Amino acid sequence: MNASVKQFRSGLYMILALVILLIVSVPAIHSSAREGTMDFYIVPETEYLPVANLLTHLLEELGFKVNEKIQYRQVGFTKIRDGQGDLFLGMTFPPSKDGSWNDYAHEFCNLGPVYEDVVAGWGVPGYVAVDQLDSFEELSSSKVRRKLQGEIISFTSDQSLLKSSRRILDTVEGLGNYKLVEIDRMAALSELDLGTRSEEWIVMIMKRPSVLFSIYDPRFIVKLTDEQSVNLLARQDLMEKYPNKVTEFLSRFYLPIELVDELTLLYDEGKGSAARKFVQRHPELVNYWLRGQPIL
Amino acid sequence: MKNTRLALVIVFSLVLTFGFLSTPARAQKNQLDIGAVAWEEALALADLVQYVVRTEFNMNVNVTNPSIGVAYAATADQELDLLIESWQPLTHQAYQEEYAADVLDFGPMYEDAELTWAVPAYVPEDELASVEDLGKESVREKLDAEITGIDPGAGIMQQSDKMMDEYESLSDYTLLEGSGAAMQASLKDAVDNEEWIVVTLWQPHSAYGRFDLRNLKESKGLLGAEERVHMIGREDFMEVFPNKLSEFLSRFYLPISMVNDLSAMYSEMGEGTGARWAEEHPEIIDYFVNGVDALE
Repeated sequence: MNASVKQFRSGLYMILALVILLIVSVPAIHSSAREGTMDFYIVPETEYLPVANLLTHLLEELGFKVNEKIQYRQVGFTKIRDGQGDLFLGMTFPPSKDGSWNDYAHEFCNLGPVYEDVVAGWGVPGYVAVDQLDSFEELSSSKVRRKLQGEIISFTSDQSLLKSSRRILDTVEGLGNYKLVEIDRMAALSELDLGTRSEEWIVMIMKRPSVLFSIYDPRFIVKLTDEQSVNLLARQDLMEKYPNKVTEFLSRFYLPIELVDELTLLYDEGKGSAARKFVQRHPELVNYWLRGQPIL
Repeated sequence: MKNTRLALVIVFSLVLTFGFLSTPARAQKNQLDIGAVAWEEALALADLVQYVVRTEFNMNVNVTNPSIGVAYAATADQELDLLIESWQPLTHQAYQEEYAADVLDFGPMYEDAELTWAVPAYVPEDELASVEDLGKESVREKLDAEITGIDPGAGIMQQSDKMMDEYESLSDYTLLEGSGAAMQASLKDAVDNEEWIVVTLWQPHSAYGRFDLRNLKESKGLLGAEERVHMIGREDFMEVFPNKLSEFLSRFYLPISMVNDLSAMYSEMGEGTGARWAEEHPEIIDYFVNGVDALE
């Protein structure tokens, strides 16, 4: 009898202990889940989305839930500055001096470039020989114009780039007979695909990174911008809010432009599988980003 | 010929008028001017960077040791190409507020750095464990009411100044200004004679390897939490230097344990540390210089 009372009592104590443990641990689980969620602001331009998608995938591998928020630059800036957002992708450096960057520069954690060699201009497929077409002057010759059917084809919706290109056609001697052709991206790609099969000449208004570089090996004949980098920005107190492994990963994360082109192509082929395929193709690089291995 | 000349004149005037073309390729610099503030770990890192730039990029390197304020201003004015190191978010906040929009941030070189006030471990912890304890009469007498600092422009001194104002226990103390080297000499003297001393310090620092030190508890958080230590370049860095150089600097990132080792090595051998460290860690240097090719 005595033994069974003892057993009953110890069972009761165990249940009580479990209940207390549950009560104590529920808020802790909740709070750690909250700490494990990141708000990632991304500017809605096609060149940023593949890299943002890869970053999200890798942060999820590190155990975080990531809310991707596609928002205009100003909204993202404000959210990050006010501590309502954690990460921001969508800013090239050096920035234009008339932008709002001056007001925000010191309010962010600038994690440095995630890729560089970003540039825009007029380009041609790689099979167009350099000694035949590499400048405005050569574009103005009637022989080249005939080969190009008097068309400059836009592969970008970047309005400032289109404006600059129109201005060039309007003002540069010998280019007045050219027509700027604006077609949607898929139509432009299809035209390029057809053209390249017969090695037709095409002049494209294009930006790098782009899927074009993974398929057609183009080169610029005229650059309309200086080379820039795309930096990853974060809230100033990122290190306080998240474990060190987050900033360590983000500081190591860096892609050469060729891999950004490759990632962009994967993303074009399938948004849902791009990051996974990239990770499968480059396990050593991803391992270094995530864990510092094998070299550290 | 006439047409060609006319076209060139028009293009040139368009560049001047609209600035729509990228800056014509500037003469690229073949000398990298580095400003490394005379803090031991900054000198050690600068020695490593200069060694890699000389040997891997075949460039000249000039390293000077300005104060942090001068280094920031000179980088913003493009008189310096690279600044090592910028502590963020707290220590160099004032300089970030003034210059962040006019420089290029290469992101963290390392993280988990912190500002400290330290005492030799032989100072009994039950007598002196915190900044508050400095207010005890017996402690003040043993320290001659002095805190040994470094150069006045340093972030640790700005934060220490705030502590002098905020802590009642420090009301009779003087914060001595000097230099990193003078502070270390004072620390060595004190340790040799088992005298009491409080020094303004930071981690990583070789003093922690050379002497058995203990950090004082600082309850008001004026010395901040863990910091990120960034490398800062002139704003037009990517225009005046080859892409491979900025790619190297973007990839440059070390865990703090390696920065501690590098600093300890520098405190023993000075110049030449970079060469020795690079020889001992060829795979890390290979990745920083060559990127993904070194991994795959």
